[in-house]
Amino acid sequence: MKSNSLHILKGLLYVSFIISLLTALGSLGIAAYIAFIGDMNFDESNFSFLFPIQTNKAAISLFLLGFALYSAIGLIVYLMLKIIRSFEKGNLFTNYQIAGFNLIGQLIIWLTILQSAAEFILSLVFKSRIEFKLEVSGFWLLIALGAFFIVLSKVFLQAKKLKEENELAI
Amino acid sequence: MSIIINLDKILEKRGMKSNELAEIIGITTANLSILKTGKAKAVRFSTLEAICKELDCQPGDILEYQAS
Repeated sequence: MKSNSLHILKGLLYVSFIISLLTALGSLGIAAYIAFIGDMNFDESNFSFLFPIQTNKAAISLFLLGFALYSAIGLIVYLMLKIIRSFEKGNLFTNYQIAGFNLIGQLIIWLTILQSAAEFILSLVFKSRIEFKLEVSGFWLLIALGAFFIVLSKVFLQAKKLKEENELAI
Repeated sequence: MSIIINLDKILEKRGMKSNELAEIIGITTANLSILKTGKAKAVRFSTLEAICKELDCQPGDILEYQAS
């Protein structure tokens, strides 16, 4: 199954994968730099607008959080790439695709929940105030996206059963 | 499954081999084997028609219902 749209999607996912991987590695690098070498001047640093960081530990935990977040995004994009590659080989409704879509959906939902929880805790710790956001975009959109992938895996499971049934019609 | 396929018996009566029948009716021997062993989920009317025509029998001779 080869098509232009799949080719474009694959290209976009490659770019996203590289960006998320570089961001994750960059975050890890900065965290390592602060932990082992650097003594940063937090008042002038570019990232102090996010949270008023004043200690090395706070900066390291923030960058490690960034590393975990972008690593998970990289994993999601990598799974999507693998699924698209299996589409290109002409395989449809395989166990791998079903499990992959389910895993992507679950990862998106858990990542969104954990990210929101982390933001909540960080604002509680660094700003000493509780923040709630009730916006349509962002959190709920990502939860819906995760649920969509889980539903897609269920649809693929049904399609696999139908395909097997069709193959056993003589 | 409570539907029994009696294709083997009819083939034996007609003195015909499975691969010969498969070739004549235009299905693979693997698919005919699936049909004979009762693993098939469905039988197309076109396949049934071709089998009946070649073996000179009725669908009821090939398919039999047995209450489980």
